[in-house]
This record gives sequence, structure tokens and C-alpha cells, in this order.
Amino acid sequence: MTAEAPAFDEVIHAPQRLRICAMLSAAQKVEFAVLQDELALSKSALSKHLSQLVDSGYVTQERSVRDARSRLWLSLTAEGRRAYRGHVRALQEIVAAEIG
Amino acid sequence: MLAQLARDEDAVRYPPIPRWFYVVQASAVAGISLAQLLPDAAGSALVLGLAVVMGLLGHRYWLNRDGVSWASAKFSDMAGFLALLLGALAVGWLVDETTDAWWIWIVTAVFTAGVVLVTGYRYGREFGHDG
Repeated sequence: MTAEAPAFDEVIHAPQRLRICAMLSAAQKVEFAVLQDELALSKSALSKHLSQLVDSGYVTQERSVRDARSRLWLSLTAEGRRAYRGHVRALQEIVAAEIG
Repeated sequence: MLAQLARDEDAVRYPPIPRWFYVVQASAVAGISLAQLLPDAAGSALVLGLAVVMGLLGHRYWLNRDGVSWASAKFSDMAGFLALLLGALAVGWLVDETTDAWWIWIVTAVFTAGVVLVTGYRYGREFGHDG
């Protein structure tokens, strides 16, 4: 997480989208229901945030069926991972500047 | 916000794990040490079997659990734990090869099982237990 250049990103700056990226950055794929539980968002609110991330090329979606249940898996793209890391670096610099 | 992001990452990276998981893993790691006391073929088979059990449990309850695929553990978080385990096994092997102290494997078994249990206790305190 330290190699990325700091870059403020308007798309993932929204708190819930930033949190979605944080969770997706910690695994290869995370299921929609897991994100929904952790973020305590409604389906429609989470879908809206995910659509913006997908449209920006930061997140990909993949459907699968298991135990007769349809599941939606989300993952960060390489671009999304770079954007998230760069944004976190930018936030860290802001915090460091405020402390210093 | 940065603290919240770290918590969100950890929620995916480090899930609550059942208490029995650590007991089984501690037993398995102790078994790997004690297997060194067996004849070569039997010892190797036991080590392989225990390693497979440990791997499958880690796969099911951590890395690829329900709703998460390939959680990415941070090496820096695991470095101390791995160094203690592998270091103890290396010391056991060195002592066994250079002296007649076969009992070193009993000491190693107790030590490595203790490391797993203490790590599990600390992990549970920080990230919770499942069940």
C-alpha cells in the first residue's frame, strides 16, 4: 500500500465507496451480501455505489450460483486497486500535514 | 476515516475464527514435531497428512470462507508467528541432528502448540471468535 503515488480520486472519495474499496482490497473477491452486512446499507444503496465503481472501471462483477442461490461477487480491478491505494496515500498525507 | 478503512480491510482479511480451530491447529503442529520421532516413512506420511489438514482448515475458515474468496493476509502480520514456528522446528532439527537429544521434539511440540494457542487467543481478542 506504500508504493502508490498519492492521488485524490473523486469517484472513491465518497465514504461508502471508499469503504467498499477497502473491503475489496483485502481479498480477490467479496460477495455482495458480505459488503451489505459490513456496511449496513440497503441493497439499492449498495448497488448504486457499486454501479458508479463499475462504470469507472474500478470494480468488476461476476454472478455465480451455489446451493441454488444466485450470488454476486465483486472484485477490484487493477485500476481500482491503484486508485484506492493512491487515494489512501493522499489521505495519509493530508493527516500528516495536519499533524505536522 | 483511515482507521475505519483499516477496520474494513481487517473485517475481510481477518474473520472471526472458531476456538476449536486453534486447538486442532495446535494439535497438528505438535503432531508434526512428534512425527520426527517416528521412522522416516511413517513420519513423512504423518507430516504430510497433518499439513493437508492444517491447509484445508485454513482454506475453509480463513482464506476462502463463505462470501470471501482468497483473503489476502499481510505477511508482516504473520512474520513473527511464522518465525517462531519455523525457528522452533529448525532448532529441533539442528539439535536432533547434532546430539542424541531425541526428546527435543517433545519440547518443540509443546512450544509450537503453545505458540499457536497464544496466537489464537490474541487473534480472538482482536478479531473475535466464531461460535
